[in-house]
Amino acid sequence: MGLGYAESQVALRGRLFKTGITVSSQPASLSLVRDFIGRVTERLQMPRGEAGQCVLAVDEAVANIMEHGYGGVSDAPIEIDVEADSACLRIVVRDEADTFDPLIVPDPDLPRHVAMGRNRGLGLFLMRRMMDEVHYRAGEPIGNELTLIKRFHRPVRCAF
Amino acid sequence: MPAFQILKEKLPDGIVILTIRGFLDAHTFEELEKTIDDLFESGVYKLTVDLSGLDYISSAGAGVFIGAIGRAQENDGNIILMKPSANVKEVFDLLGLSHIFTFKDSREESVKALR
Repeated sequence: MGLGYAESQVALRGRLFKTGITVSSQPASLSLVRDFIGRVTERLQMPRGEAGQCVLAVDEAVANIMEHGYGGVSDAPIEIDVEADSACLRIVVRDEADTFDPLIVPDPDLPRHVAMGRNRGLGLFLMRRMMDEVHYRAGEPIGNELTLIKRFHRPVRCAF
Repeated sequence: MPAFQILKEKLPDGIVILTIRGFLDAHTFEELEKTIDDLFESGVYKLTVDLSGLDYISSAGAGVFIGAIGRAQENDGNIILMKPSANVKEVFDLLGLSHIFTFKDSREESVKALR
């Protein structure tokens, strides 16, 4: 065990770590976001299934901002802050778009949605299903902050 | 290697196998959508999609199949999905699509289901 192990043990008393990334709102950034969240979940040694759910939820949140928040503008910022403690992974996604609470959007009637061949509008539903908690806060005067929380079902430890 | 790849193989009886690889997301879904639209325009409505090399799918990617299956079936065709990974299948399950799409484990079974 090296220094990383010692650090993680100290950190386990409180926060395991905190990190972040800012990307532009171009669709090509989605892969950067997924890679970033993937690295975080690897660092936490999360089970593969739960790790994939976090990646998908953040991808959907960011894709939603790109399409609906920024309306296809490709050079606006999207900030993702991540922190983990011994209980959960908390991912905060911020944008500078007009305020809009995505949590007021009801879940789609899936059978009807599919029967009508509606091929969009499922991202928020998936995002909510993938995470244990999702919270929204409007920015002042503009912007949005979405917090996605995944609780750990077994103790995690940082792998440095 | 590109983030997303589509390989197209024509078989007898108007069947086409699409092999898709990589990451099908809000950035890449339009490429698949266009490929399927072009096939429909050319009168091909019997499709098997090999998902075994697909690493990732988001709702935008799944939406391509939702948007296409109705048109395929209206034209005496279908879309058969083959060998999705567990994480890709989970997305189909969560969206309630596993009851709508037929999943097969092999190319032979997929083609048989279309004949």
